[in-house]
This record gives sequence, C-alpha cells and structure tokens, in this order.
Amino acid sequence: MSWLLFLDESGHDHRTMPYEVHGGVAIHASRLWPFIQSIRSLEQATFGAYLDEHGAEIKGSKLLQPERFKWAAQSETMDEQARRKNALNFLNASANSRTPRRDEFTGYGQACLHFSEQTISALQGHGARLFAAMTLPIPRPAALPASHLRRDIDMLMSRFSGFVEHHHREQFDEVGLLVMDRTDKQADRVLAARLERHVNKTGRGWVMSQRVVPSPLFVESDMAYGVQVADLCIYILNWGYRTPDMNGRVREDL
Amino acid sequence: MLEPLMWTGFQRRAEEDVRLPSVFFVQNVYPPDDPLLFQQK
Repeated sequence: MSWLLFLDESGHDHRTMPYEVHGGVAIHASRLWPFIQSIRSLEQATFGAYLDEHGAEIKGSKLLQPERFKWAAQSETMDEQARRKNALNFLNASANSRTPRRDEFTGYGQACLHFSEQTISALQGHGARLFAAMTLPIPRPAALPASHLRRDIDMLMSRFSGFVEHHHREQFDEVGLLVMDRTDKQADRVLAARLERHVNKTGRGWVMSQRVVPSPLFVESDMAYGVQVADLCIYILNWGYRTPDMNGRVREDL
Repeated sequence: MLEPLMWTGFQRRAEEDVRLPSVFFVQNVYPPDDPLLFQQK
C-alpha cells in the first residue's frame, strides 16, 4: 500500500500571495476512497450540487476569497437547508443570466466557509497529514543549472519520505507516491527530470527514493479531489500560517 | 554514481526528518553556500 501526497503550489506567480508554498496533503491509499466519498457527500449536502457541474472548483482562492466572508456575514448563520437552497440558487443564477439575490449571496458565502471547514475536518478524520514548504517569492537565479532541484522541494520530499519510513519501519512495501497538478507538459517534464537527477546524483535524493517514488503522477486538478483539497490547504497556509521568522501579510479572517 | 560532493552540506538521513515539522519555512531556497547548488556540472 502507499501514501499519496497530493501536491499543488501557491503564490508562484509572485503577484498577490505573500509567500510561495509547495505542498499538499498525504493520505493513505486505504483511506482515499472513503475520503473522496465523504467530500462528495459534503459537497452535495452543502451546495446541493457538485461544484464542477456549475463550472466551479474546490479551490482556496475561490472558496475563501475575502468577498465570501463579507457575503457570509450579511446575516445570521442559516440552517443547513436554507444555506443549501440559497447556495444552489446562487450557482444556478449565472446559468439563468440572473443576478443572485442578497440571501443567495449570503447562503453561498456561508456554504463556502462551511465546506472549507468540514473538508479540513474530513482530512483529520481520515488520518491525512499536511506537508508544505513555504518561502519568500524569490526569482530563480539565472546562473542556476536548469537541472537543479530547489532546496524547498528537496526538503519537502525528504520529510515526506521520513514520514513514510517512520510509520512503516519494517514494511518496505509501503511507499509514497507524488500526485501533482498538471501544468504544461514542458514544465512537468523539467520537474520530473530534476527529481530524477536529484535521486541519481545526490545522497539525500537516493535516501528519499527508498520511500518515495521520485516519478510524479500528473493529473488534471479538476478531476482529482486530492489535488483540489491540497490547493485549499496551502492557500490557507499562505495567508494564515506564520512561524516567528515570517512577517508576511496575514489575512485575519483565515 | 553518487557525486561525493553531494554527501556534504545539509545532508541528513531522511528518517531523521520525521522529527521536524511537516510544514516549514525555508529562508532561502537558493543559498549561495549550498553545495548542492552552484557547484553542479
């Protein structure tokens, strides 16, 4: 069996986010299907529909944008049924070329926040572990060899392999798999080549490869709940998680 | 074959990393004294 580490990145366009974050959630293969089922049930119970049926996606920058908090605070907390009805009407409004009503904005805002909170609870309930490397947005030095793997990625892989090793010390068939958001083929090939070189040429890389398969699986994020949930988690970290040596902007609402 | 240079610097057995936080801040992902970086061929 395996641990799957669903990975995404945040802030790499160096535009609005205070940090660059590489990371995601690791979940054991034996818990993956129950986790996906719980998220799909939660999605139906919260929005009255699957978000992808309405061109929406489970994404931190959508579910937790500041507007959602403003909408949610427009009135008192709705009961589950009213929230679902208003959230669904909100989603249907654009298909019907109609501007949503005030209580539909409110219901949708509350639904987004509820869904995000419950997704985090579901991760905890299914024994998932959060992994993330945060760094300041620094441009890649021109002198750097194209084959070089960034230090934060190296550390992230190392800690994931350490986690698998620690939890399955004598079980050598337990390995970690990397599942990444597909970007473009060229960039994905470069990353895969960097990982391979890291494993073949460095001691740290070789040690890591004993527990983590250094060949990532690239998936379309809108088809993979794990990657979408990873996006949600690292969005929250980017705006809300700080160690004492981090002084980037913080969103208090998160 | 592993390059000897790569065994220096911040090398550490991966299993020791489990004691470290799984969410962490990296001050500089391109440290100039990192032997894994600028001396690569």
